Amino acid sequence: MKGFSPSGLLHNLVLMLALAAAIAPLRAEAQVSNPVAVKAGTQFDVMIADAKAQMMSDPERTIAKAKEAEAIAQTLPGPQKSFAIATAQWLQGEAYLRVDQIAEAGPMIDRALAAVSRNGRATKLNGDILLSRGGYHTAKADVAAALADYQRAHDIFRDAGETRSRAIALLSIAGLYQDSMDYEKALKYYQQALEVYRGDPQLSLSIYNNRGIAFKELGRYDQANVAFGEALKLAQKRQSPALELPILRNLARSELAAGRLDLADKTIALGFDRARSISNGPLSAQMWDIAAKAELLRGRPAQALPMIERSFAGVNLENTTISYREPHETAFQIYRALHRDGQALIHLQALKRLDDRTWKLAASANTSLASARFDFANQELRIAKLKADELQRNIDFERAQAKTRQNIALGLSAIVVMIVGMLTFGIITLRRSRNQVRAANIDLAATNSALGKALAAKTEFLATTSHEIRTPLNGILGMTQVMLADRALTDQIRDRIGVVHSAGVTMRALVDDILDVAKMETGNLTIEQVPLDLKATLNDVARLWQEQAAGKGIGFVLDLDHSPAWIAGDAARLRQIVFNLLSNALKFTAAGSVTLRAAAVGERLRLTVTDSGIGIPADKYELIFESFRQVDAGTTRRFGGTGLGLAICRNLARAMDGDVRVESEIGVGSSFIIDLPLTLATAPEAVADVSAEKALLIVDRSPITRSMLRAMLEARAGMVIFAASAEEAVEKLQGGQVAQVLIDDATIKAAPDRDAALSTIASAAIAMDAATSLLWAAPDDSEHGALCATGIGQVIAKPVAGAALIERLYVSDGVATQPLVSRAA
Amino acid sequence: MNVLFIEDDPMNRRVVGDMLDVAGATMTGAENAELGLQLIEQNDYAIILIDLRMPGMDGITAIRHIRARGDAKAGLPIIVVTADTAIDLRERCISQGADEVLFKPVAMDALFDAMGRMLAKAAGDGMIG
Repeated sequence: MKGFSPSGLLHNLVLMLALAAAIAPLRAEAQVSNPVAVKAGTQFDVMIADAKAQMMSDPERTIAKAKEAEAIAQTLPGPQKSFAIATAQWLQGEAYLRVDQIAEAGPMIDRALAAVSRNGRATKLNGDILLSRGGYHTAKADVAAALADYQRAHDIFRDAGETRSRAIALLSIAGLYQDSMDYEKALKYYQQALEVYRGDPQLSLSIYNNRGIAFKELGRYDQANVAFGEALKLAQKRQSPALELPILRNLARSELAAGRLDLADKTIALGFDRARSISNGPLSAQMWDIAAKAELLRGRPAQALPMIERSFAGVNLENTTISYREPHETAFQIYRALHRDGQALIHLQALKRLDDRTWKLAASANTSLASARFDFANQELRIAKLKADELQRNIDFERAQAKTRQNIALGLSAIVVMIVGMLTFGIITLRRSRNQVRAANIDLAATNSALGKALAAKTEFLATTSHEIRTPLNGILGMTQVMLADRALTDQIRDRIGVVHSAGVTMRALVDDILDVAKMETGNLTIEQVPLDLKATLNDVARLWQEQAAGKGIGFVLDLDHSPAWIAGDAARLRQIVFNLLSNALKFTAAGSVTLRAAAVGERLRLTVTDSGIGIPADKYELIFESFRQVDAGTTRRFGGTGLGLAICRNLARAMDGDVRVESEIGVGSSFIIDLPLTLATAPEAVADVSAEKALLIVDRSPITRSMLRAMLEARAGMVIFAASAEEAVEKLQGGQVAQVLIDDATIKAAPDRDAALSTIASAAIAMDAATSLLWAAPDDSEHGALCATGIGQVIAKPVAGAALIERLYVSDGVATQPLVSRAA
Repeated sequence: MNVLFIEDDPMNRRVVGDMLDVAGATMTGAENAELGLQLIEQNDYAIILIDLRMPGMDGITAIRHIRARGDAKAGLPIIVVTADTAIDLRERCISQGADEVLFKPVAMDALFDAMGRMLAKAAGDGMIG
């Protein structure tokens, strides 16, 4: 039951003090505002002064006096009248509150408020009446309405610059919170009241006293005692034992609650002294219950008993007011301790009655206050509050931050400790090897990085160089080809141009090799895996070198007896390897022979290029496969070459999942062995297995047209050969391998004698039993007849569709047909 | 036979021009792709030769322009002639509409052979004229 407050008593003290302080200003105002009706006004003033003076000691008398004053007020002239009436009614209302005639107080105060409102602008009287109405609403337990009244009063006082009245309004608000047991908020308003006005010692005394009670209820006895001490000092200064007595009671109770019985005894003694100095009557009784409690706390209920009985002497226990709450509690405890349960029960019931009322009021007030909101309407205070709140939030935030940081720091610390522990173990065990490995890794990384960069730069350089060299080569090779195509060239000039052309071709090969190496080093070399005729491919390559070998007077052996026919692979790359090896073999062989041998060895394909050349020292076997290497620098000059050939061979072979190696004996010769995986393939369906033993001879001087006709007819004709002129055609026909002749008109038209050229070809064809056809652009009938007269088998008018041409040349499947047009025609 | 060669390098135009002259064909040179497209618009060519790297529009873009035509010229045989040797260049050119790719230095026989093949292909469902 510690939390309970006898706040009603104290609240009354507040109002009492406030009203006592309100007297002086009111009179001054009345004097100023009544210059005309001096007499009536003076009479009124005297009455009002009397009424106010009686308010504290005899409210009933105040009511009577105020009623008289009101009657006089009715006679006052003009604006003074309503003001005077309002004042008189207000005093009556306030007095009714004091004698607990709440029902009369309310309407009276409302009438006063209505009267004063007729003046228009709100005056201090408005505020005073609102304070009283707040008291009325408090008595009616209408806390929200009370708060609203105090709030309006506060605003009026603030606007009027009435700091003292403003402090009273704040004090009243604090009282509401104290009644609802919200002591923290109450303390806040007490503080604000003190800040607003300190000029009235009585008001300050009231504030300090109430602060003390709030602190005491919060269990903050040290602060409570300091506040009561301040209040007591102010009361002593005024030499008012009546003011000292309630403060001493509060102080003594606080000291007892704090367990300071020594201090409490002195305070109680002082209280009895002050009570006696006022009167020997009921006031001293107010100290007896405290003295009894002190004895009870000392464990002496028997000594306490007479004391508590004195405090309740002549008091009806069934309708005590709130100020008796603590005495009731003390009495209950004493009677219980003495096992006088009947007496104890009476006090307990009284206690319950008071508490029920108080709790009900407090609960109601709490609810109302929670929903109501006191607007200070004071910017300074509001700003200060906001600043304070913000500061608090900042502090809270900082604290939360600090807490979070602390938590994180703690967590991290734990993790760090763990990791450090683990690392320490690891470091101790691994330090030595790690240092060695790390040193090696750093070196390797640096080297690899440098190598990578160098390689990339080299590759890019090679690719760029290759591209740049190709362009002028195009000019050299292109023009030498054009010149060599000129049949009018003399042999000498043709030979010289041929040298230029050969140099260009070599250069192109070099550029191609460089490009290959660049591709290989960047891993951009791609290998196809398609069916290829190995024997045909090798025959093809060998044919290029057989002439060279013959020219050098050395033998060339091609051994394909054990070679597989169709395999899966990259024909172009395979050809490139063999080409390079044969080129090398011939280059380094002055006498003897070169052999190319192919054989399937189990799952592998083995190609061997053997020469009887100068040989390679065993310690150079690997060196020769590096790029730009020959066995010695001198060989480059003697034998030429880029030194890339073998490197490319090895790279290609390895790209095919194989390899190239060398076996050699100085002065005897070398063998280059290409070892590749063998995947046999089936030969594709023969597209045109006609494989005519006899060829189609195309007589056309334009290489483009020749190519076109071959592309169109090769599949059907099998073998296709060409002649650029009538003479050449006769020559080819006389070779005896021609089954059919196709003559293009452009070539015949370029001849000196058209009909003679045609007749020559036709005669040769007939002699060799070959059919002849002539393509001729849109011949008319007479032209057609003239052309046929030369002995040409048939004339095919251009333009003609490719399919139609084949139809005309080969009327049915199988071998070449008989001429469509009679030879005799 | 009229051939258009779109190529910025004058020497290359001259060389190919002389080669085609050997084959009895007539070549018109265009020093950039924009001019080449204009010439295709105005004239009839049997075949188009085109370089890839040129100032202004590049060869691939020009090929796309030709293939995007609404008329029969969209099907003109196109042969790329390039000094570029990038990986998969042939596949890239053909996927963009080229019929054949030749690498410089261009062998005359290879050029004629390619042109003949392209003409034969074009004549497969057309005419030899």
